[in-house]
Amino acid sequence: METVYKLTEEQKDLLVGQTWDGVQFFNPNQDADGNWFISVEEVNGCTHQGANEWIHELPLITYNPLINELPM
Amino acid sequence: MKALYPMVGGTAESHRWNLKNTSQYKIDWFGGGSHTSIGYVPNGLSFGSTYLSNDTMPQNSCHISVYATGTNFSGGCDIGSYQGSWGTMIYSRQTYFETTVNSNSIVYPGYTTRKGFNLASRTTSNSIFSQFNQSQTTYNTTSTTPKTSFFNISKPGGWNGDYSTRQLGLVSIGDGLTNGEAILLYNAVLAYQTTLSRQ
Repeated sequence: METVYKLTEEQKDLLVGQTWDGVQFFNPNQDADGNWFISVEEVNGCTHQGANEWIHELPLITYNPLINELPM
Repeated sequence: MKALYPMVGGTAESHRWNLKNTSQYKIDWFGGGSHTSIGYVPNGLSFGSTYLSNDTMPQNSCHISVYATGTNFSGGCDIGSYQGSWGTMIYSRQTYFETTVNSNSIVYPGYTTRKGFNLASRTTSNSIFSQFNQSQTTYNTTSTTPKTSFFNISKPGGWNGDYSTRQLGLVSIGDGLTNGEAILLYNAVLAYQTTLSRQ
């Protein structure tokens, strides 16, 4: 996954709990730079059943993964 | 057995169903990822929530298993429930698996391929065993009271990280299996995957 779509925090809040195809839920995450984002698959697969047409206007950014390994 | 997800049908909807009881523990999928004839193909930022909590099973009777239908790899957690340094999980790392059941210590069986069947089971207070295909290894370890976090698929429940990209064609969660029962489960799962040409 090299690119992802960048969200504002307000946009992230709008997507939480919404599905992108009627079955699968959006999963906004933060990258290592603190940017909220969703994946290209979520945007390309979105069927707009939640009236989220605006996600196609989101800017693409290079994905900088946040390393968050579980402490055991 | 509390939940058995056969992941057949090639869609997000068909891969949600719990064969053991279709009115319980239906998976919700989050993030991208895709659903194909080989099962669930997570993208490294996607997961499934089973809503089945670790404490549904007793402290010394719990198992989890997955069947990987591909060789994708990110070093993450294929299935797990985590809370406060304790958990029940299967990870696929670079050259070994990490498995634990109701414990804060992890065991590290090595492997030569990532495609196949992984299982971790506890039926006693002082040991667990880890299985890859038919190969089993028993480890001495302490146990803890099962935690309340849900089992997630392709990342640990109770933790936002360690996403896995390993393709999955079956997941099971339930009471502890003996060594013999785990081999029987492997045989049944292999036959099922062979029927679907994704073994």
